[in-house]
Amino acid sequence: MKRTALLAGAGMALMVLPLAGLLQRAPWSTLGTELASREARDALGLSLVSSLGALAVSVVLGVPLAWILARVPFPGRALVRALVMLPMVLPPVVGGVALLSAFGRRGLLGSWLGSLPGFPLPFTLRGVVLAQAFVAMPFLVVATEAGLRQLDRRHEEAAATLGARPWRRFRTVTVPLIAPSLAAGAALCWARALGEFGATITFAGNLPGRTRTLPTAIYAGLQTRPEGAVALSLVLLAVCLAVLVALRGRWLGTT
Amino acid sequence: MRRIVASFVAALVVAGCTTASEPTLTVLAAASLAEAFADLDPGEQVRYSFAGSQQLVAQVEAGVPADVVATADEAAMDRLVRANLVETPVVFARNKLAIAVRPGNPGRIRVLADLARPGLRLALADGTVPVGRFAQQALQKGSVRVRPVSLELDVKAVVSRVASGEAEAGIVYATDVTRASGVEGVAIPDDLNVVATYPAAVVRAGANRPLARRFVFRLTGDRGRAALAAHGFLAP
Amino acid sequence: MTLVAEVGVRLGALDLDLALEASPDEVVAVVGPNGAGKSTLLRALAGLVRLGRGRIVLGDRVLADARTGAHVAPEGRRVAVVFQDTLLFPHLSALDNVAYGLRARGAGRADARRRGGDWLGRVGLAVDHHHSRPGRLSGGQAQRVALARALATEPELLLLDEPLSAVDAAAKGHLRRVLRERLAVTPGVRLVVTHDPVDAMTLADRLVVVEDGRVTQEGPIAEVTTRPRSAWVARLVGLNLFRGRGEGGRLVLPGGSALTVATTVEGPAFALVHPRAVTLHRRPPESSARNAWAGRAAGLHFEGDRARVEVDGTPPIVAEVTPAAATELRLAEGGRVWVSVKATEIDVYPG
Repeated sequence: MKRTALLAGAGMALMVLPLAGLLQRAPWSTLGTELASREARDALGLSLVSSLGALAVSVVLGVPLAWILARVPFPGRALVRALVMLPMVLPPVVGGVALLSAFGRRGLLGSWLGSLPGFPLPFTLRGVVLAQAFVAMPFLVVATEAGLRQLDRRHEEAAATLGARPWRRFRTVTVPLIAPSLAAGAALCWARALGEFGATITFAGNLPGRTRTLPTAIYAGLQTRPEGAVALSLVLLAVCLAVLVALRGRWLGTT
Repeated sequence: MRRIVASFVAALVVAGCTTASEPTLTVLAAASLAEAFADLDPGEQVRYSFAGSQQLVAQVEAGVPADVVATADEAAMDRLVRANLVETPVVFARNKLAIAVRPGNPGRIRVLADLARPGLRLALADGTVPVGRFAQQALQKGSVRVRPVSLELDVKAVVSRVASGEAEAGIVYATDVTRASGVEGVAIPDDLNVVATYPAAVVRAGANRPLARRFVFRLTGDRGRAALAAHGFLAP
Repeated sequence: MTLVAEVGVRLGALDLDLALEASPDEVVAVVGPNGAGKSTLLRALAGLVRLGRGRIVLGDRVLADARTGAHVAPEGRRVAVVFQDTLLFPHLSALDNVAYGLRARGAGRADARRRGGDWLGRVGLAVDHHHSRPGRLSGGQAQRVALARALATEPELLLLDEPLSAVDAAAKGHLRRVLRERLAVTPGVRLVVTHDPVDAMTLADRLVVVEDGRVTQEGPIAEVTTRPRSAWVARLVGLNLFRGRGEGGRLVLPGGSALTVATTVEGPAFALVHPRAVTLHRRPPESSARNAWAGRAAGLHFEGDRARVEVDGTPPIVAEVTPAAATELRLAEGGRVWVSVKATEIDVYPG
């Protein structure tokens, strides 16, 4: 028991000490002015807008995807599921490189769609949203699929016998019943999108006011103005902590 | 359980021992020196670590074990000097800026002022990186107002933006366009150009300062200069 | 609006193959042991299971036809189901649950809620429960809501799947009455699936017995229970049923033994013996009973003022005696006992 406690203590220290260090280095006295600066506000605003955009994309594309994975048996389903989860374990920069090779100006799709409105994507806010959605959507899909699998489908059957067609059943019965899983997935998805760095900077670049999100601003600022960077880090830290506390241990669809 | 812990500790000790047995120098150097340093013949075992100059400074300040530090920026080195973390630095090379363009120069960029062309996708390095600062200075000298599409966090990223076609032009070091990096160079005239000086210094906290001093000395010797020149660096 | 159904479904180990007709004039109870296929039949009628073979026609509308592949989805059939587990939507109040079917068919929220409230009144749910979530309702209350929810859609076919099984004994009687009243005035075809004989007797006019995926007997309740054609029904109504071949004045049973009977029947036949007509003895009886055999008392159950004794013998039989007689006979489980039945007490009919 003592050995277990010791190891557990070491584990906790590993997780907590870096955060404590951050808090200790924080410029508490100048925090307000740091965060009010033009760069900070730009980065914060951009991060908020892009991460919410990424969340929206993830919901619109991810929920149907989760539905298909949970409900429709098709050959290769396990492979598709693995591919969907790939961005969760892929190093983000690799994700960025992959996005470039698909959507960059000379990419698979990007080279063709280059002249269409809305394209090209690198160096734009749309590109940031895409990069963030790429890394964050799997969280939503996994949580939603788990929720759908755990659902008692007889409620949907009952709704059908009462005359409700598929879309109404989905809207009025399925979604409310998987709402907790969906919410947990969405929260994690949003937090992940907010904190995304490697794929964003590789795919969308770094331009203050256009594509410089919070994490990029932190990385760039770390060298020259650590106080500013630490202040921004605190914001990100606070947001992520708030999300996790709100989830209260409800993780990826398990109750 | 005890056996697992014991073998883990043993592995750590062995790993530690192997690095201590041969005298190896750890050299922290600016990213732009990567290819040139690979061709050096330092005469002893050297381990290199390349990063942006600001990062190198941060590492030395944080006490990362290193014997020599070589930055692309005198201002960066000055911080270390003021903090008394290094011995007197020695300038061992210089570098000029150049405009990187796609092979064949499809955009027909000939002068710095061409970079102000509306709609031109220009990649620069961020102001926190030395080459980025120098680029700003050069642009200011030429009174060229540009709207870059991205401020990359190191010079290699600028090169790769242009090489991949995402950007049409970028301002990088001259040394970045003489190698097979996938870009061509357009020269910037000396009156507009900015010269970067590369200082190298022995880290005071290093384990083997005599060896480190020999390394720095060699950098400025004939063979060192030849290797650097072959990669496009200017003499100090 | 008659239901005419030939249902053939293969589901796992179950092979359901039966024909069923039900008119709006009578309530039909589908009974049988667990696993017989009753629920599967219900699900097929509701459209939740596809037919492997057969056809379902309600009124003049073909709901499913295995040959043409036609299958009207559940939402397109006017078939409502009261489920065994109620399956009330946990995120909606009782009122909104009842209003659900109305809203699905296009009613506005206020209108649906008003009508829903009326239905809840008809099934006897107190108004202060109308806005409660299903989690806060008792079993009996929840089942009322489930009933109201189904009735509110005014279906052409109303299916009830073990409607009282999840309700506790105390509430069962009351709820059964409510159910009976509502079923009596509900138009359309009404089908109740149950394994509880009291439910079947109370709620239905006609019985369909399903065993192992097949209909083994159907007809008006009185007829089925007094002339059971399956051991299950007999057990249901607490009678001894024997099946054998009539030869002259005897019914020869599989296994070789025979019962002497008073009625002459030739060919395949059933013999019904009420447990009370079975007499138990400690020694071989000297009575005028023409049927007597030995056995072992395999089970002894005291039920109020009766004692039911299951006797293992050739053939096995259940006897009903007074507790006093049981004590007098010093009956103990496993003890040897003699059985006698008068030929005149055996009800024989062809089968």
